[in-house]
Amino acid sequence: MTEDEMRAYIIATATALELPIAPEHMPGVMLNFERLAAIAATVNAFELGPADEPAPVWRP
Amino acid sequence: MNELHRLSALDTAIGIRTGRFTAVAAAQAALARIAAVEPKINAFTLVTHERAQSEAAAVDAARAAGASLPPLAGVPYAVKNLFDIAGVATLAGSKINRELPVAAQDCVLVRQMQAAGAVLVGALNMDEYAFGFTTENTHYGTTRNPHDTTRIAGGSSGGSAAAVAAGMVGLSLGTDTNGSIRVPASLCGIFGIKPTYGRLSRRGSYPFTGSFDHVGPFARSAADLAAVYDALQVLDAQDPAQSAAAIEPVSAGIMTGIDGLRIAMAGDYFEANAQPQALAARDLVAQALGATRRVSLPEAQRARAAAFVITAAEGSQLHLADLRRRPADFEPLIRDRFIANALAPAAWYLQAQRFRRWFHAAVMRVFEETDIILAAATPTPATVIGAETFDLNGVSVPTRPSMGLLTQPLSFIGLPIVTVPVHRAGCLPIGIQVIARPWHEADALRVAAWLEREGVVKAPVAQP
Repeated sequence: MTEDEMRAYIIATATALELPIAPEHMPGVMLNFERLAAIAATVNAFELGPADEPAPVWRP
Repeated sequence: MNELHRLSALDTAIGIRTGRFTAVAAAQAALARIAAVEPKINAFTLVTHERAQSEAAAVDAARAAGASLPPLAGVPYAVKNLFDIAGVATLAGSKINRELPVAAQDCVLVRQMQAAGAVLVGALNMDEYAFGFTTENTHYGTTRNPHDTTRIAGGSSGGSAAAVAAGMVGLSLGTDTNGSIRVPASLCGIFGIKPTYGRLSRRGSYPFTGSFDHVGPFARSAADLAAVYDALQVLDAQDPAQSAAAIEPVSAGIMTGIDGLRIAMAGDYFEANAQPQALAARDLVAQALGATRRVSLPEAQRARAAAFVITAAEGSQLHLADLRRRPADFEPLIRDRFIANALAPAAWYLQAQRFRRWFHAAVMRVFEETDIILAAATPTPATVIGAETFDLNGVSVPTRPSMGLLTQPLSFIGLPIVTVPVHRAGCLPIGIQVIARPWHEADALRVAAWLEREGVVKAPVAQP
């Protein structure tokens, strides 16, 4: 995702969530979303099978 | 009697039971210690003078009437300010929650403590909404480390750990979603237990990330920790996550030694993300236990990442209504992160939840040949207040999220863990995680008690 694409995603998703983002918060939101996306990419790269379901209630 | 604050919780209870001093005297000693030390530490957001006096007087009256006293009768304690206390607004470290109605009743764990005879002396500071590892709270001030007041106490249960370390109370309660008991226990040099996910009732505590919110206690000795953990156990069908099948008291068995326990060190990720001082403390504990084997928890880095994603999604969704209406009232240090996290797509969240099942299965295979795994609790001892970064083996990493590098992969799958404190001359304290298989808290507490008896770990009262 380029910076422009990320900004567009943030604006569109925030609109869908009815979550206004003040202009002064936008740089911090961009920075934190970029960090989150990088961390999520690590998880998303892991191949899971169809039987790897999430647990509705975690029972260790 | 002005040294009562130095006693362990169990010695305080024995002193009251045997008539050496009263519960009121113990409460007054705790309140006096708070008055003397709190200005340097900022652990408390509320001191409950009247309740402390009244609960202590009730213990003394019960003794005078010849009643059998419960195990923690007269022991002063305090709770992270996300636990409901009847008549008090449950702040959860926030400014926003000040406007909520006061709690109508105590949370389950405070009721358990009261039933055990303990005396509540106050509510404790934390990171806003438990989202942080430093207890640098703009609304209520930073909680300072009693061993060095220029440094952080850790978080998010920073007040809970600092109050115990400074001798203001012998016991406290906190919560741990990604490390919020283990990190401050490590930095403040005390004992803490994060039980198995689903062991203790969370009802009446303000949530953060339901998928891995845990509750648990802090103490200055393994025996105290076991005693309070036992007191907190109750089956509660109204906590949707509680899955403990039975109440399993541990205190009677913690001094049985470590024979039969297969103990190993966590290698790979857990060593790569620890500074030399953290590894030296881990080695000290491992050598004492005769643990020479290393085990690998596969994909631990990805587990930490998945915990991060789940926390981001659940934590921000919980506060979405306030993020829409009043973002300016959030903690400035985390507000932008909360907003960014609210935008995470569902696919990221679900991939992380599905990966959790995979990681759990992989770690359970490690536990087929191991009973206890050792890892440092934090990558570093306490950092200086306000430090944005610290050095991790030549790499500058952001302080606030990185303090949880070694704890997050483990709470992610709900393992029970006792943090034991290592104090070495000339060094700040640091904690080691004693990690057991699910529902085997007793094994971790046995190891903690053995290490304490051998003098390897200890939690002296700090003099700030």
